[in-house]
Amino acid sequence: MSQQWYNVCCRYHGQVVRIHDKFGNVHIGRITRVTPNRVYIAPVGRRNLGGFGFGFYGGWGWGWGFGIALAAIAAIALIGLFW
Amino acid sequence: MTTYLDVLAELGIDSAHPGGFSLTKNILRKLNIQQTSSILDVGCGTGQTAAYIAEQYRANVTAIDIHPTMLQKAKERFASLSHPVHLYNTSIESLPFSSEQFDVILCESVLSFVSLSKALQEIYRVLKPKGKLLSIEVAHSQLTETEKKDITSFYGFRHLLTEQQWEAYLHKNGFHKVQTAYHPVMQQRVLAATPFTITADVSEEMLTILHTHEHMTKQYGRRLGYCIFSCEK
Repeated sequence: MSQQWYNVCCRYHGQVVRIHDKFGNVHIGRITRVTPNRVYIAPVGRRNLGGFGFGFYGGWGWGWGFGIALAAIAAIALIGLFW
Repeated sequence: MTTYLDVLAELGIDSAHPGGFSLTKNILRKLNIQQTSSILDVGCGTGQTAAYIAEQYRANVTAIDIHPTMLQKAKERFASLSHPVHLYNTSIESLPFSSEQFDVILCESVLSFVSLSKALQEIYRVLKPKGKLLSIEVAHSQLTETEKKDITSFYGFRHLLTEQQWEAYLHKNGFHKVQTAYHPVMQQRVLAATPFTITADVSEEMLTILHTHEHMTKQYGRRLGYCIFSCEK
């Protein structure tokens, strides 16, 4: 399963996502880095990004952002265009 | 074999059409829908638009689709509404409705997937005189034959037309007051995009189709887009 999340995170590298983890937490940010075990997301500003209602996430400091274990991911929400 | 439409159904993507739900709401606002209006939502998918019209306008809404997963999701959605939506498992190419029944017919990315002549004949038949057809469909501008073939075979489109060709088809099938507008994919605003969720049970095959789709929309840039058109019987 982690392998699938690894592939998904690599594909959407650089995009803003909403990650739901298995503990009921929701993390929102832009994917900045993917390792075989973790995905890192950086906060996004107070902008409306496709109806996700992103608020501002502060206090993460610098760097890759917040790391989430791939094994803890339950779902990833994105936005796209469909025919 | 899993198709692009299966992926949309499996992921339960609402408003799976260009412009997303915000474009749908904008179009509906201009339609002057009354409680007495009869509306047909062709290819309703998960039923988001039909449910919205029923709840928002309390109009008489009928929705059709042929994909079993879409029908199931639409049925579940309609069951929770305070105003009914009549759902039918039927194709636009052969409608089980009597003639001159609807004031408005909506097609959100449907006509590209069906026989256009059969669909337009049926739409024309079931529309009341002066009834309106509103549609949002994939369109292109200056794609080569090879590129068109590549796109149509991946998505399962029956045809991929330019704005002018859409317009000509509508005139040919008897529609009046045809208005069209072409928008390249690249101009899509983030707000007009559609949210979707990947869960752990989405197969690798589906993810590959999703990836190919995203690659294609980027690859063809301004030459691939969508057409919004409205016309009258």
